[in-house]
Amino acid sequence: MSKTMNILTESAGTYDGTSVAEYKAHGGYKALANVVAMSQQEILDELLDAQLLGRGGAAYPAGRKWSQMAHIKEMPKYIVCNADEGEPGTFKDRELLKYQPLRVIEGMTIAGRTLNAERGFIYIRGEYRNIQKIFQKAIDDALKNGYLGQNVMGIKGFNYTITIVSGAGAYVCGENSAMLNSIEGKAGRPRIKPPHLAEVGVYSLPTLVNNVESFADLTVIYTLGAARFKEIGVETSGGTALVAICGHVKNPGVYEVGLGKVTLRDLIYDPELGGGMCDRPLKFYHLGGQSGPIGFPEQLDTPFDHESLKKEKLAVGSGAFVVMDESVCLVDYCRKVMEFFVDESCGKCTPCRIGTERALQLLTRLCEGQGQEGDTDKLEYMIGQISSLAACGLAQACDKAIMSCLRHRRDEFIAHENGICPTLSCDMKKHSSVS
Amino acid sequence: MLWIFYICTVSHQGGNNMNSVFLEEMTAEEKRQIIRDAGGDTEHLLAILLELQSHSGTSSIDEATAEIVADELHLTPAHVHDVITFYEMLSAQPSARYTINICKSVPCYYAKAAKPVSLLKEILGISPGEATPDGMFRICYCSCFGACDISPAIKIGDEVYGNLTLDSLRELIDGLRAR
Repeated sequence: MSKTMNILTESAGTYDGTSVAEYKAHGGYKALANVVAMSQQEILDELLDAQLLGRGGAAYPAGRKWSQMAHIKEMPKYIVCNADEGEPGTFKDRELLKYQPLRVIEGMTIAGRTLNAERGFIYIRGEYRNIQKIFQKAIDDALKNGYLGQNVMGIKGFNYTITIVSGAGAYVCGENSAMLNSIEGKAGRPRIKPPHLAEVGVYSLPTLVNNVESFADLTVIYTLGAARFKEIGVETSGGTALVAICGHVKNPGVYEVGLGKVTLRDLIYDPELGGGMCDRPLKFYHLGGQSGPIGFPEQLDTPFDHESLKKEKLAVGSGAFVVMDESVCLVDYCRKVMEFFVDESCGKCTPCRIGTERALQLLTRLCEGQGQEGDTDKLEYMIGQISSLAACGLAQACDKAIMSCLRHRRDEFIAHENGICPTLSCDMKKHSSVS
Repeated sequence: MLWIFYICTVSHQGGNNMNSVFLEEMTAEEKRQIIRDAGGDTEHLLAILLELQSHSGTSSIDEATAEIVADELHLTPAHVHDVITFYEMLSAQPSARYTINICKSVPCYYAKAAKPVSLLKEILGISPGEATPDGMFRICYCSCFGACDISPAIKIGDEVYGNLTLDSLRELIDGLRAR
């Protein structure tokens, strides 16, 4: 049986995804037609039942988020689609935006209908300027065909528009509150929370923020029903997930798999998925981008779903799956990860601005053979402090990768304290000067 | 399988939408027209600035242009400057006509294929952070732009080029020079 699925990605790329007529010919807008016949409570119950966990990274239950939004009385409300995928190794939303823009638009329209919001924003990263043009074409065609604008589908009072907002290369804008500031035309620095975005979002009004894939999943839920959606995945987490596999595998690319239906081993070695390692054996794999945990060969039999991964202290995260072979030094890799956080820190809070810099210095010292006894403990303490004191999700997650390495491969760090790189890929100045 | 096929071919779109009329040659009215065409309000501020920058010829937004943006959008020049300096893709400092962005995130950094840095050094004779003497090219590092499936990748303007070889890169650079 095939390990890949094509539910979300059905026919993607084989037809013009920006054309409403073609999208409808491929089953499009059935979900919205079902939704307009349902009451708000029915829509929310279906979503709660479907167990859709957010696909942006935090895996927050969408049904719960929507129900909280529905209880907020203040109007108007805004719908925001986070299409700022900036986690290195993540490129799954790119495929949806490019080939299935109307699926995302339909999902956002379902959200607008359910929560009585009349405006939606989609924040697409600046690096995808070409895709913004494709998405705009899809919006224009939806407007022309009465699926956006005034009286959507001819239903009086059902008004909904979507505005594309461009990013300009700031990873921190993937953090929802920073993104909302960016939508308002400000520098994308995160806000202090609480108040939560559900209540005080864009222009200080109630705002729902979901990921691109989460919105696209709605079209599946309201076409096939919550029960079928859960069958595709597992009881605790419904549906499929898009996984972006890259690194030292034979077939890098985006694949759709049923949650819990494949293992991590399948993702790397199945001929329909990663296709196996290129030339050297597997050393580790990094899930969910730089802010996600790292897994090792002994964890390969873990099923790919939120709950099973959580038990192993792993996570689905943003859908990134970066596979590295034995030529890569783990400490050097962690140094690159920390370098990323140093670059992307917005500088607003001290633990992130200075803490990531200090952690990078320590990791660089280890990689250059200047390590000292106790550096590993110091690193562990330091990143623990950063993540617990930082103001936003960016630095709160900067410890995830290193912590999983320290749990499973502490010896490799200790070796670096002594000026030895087991993979022989670090530039060990101290070691060479001794010999 | 078609899905996979499309994924593998996505990022090789040819062409480059750099324009030949540069900002310094434009009148204030022409710049205002670009601002309005790109949305004309604060929600489109980044889109406006990126569009203006793509017309700059120097991969940057000069002060006079930033002031026009501020005026058109009813913002202070300081607000616009704050935004330009905050975002990685925007710059107030003129650099070169084409900025070659090399992804330095882990999937590209550890990619087994040819390294763009050494290839570009061979072709252009410059390293990241440097510009060619004729002001045509500048190389810099940037964070992941979502082309990890064709790593190592570079980005010039809005176009992404991956699975690079010395020959394909040379052809690309020659094509841009001839433009």
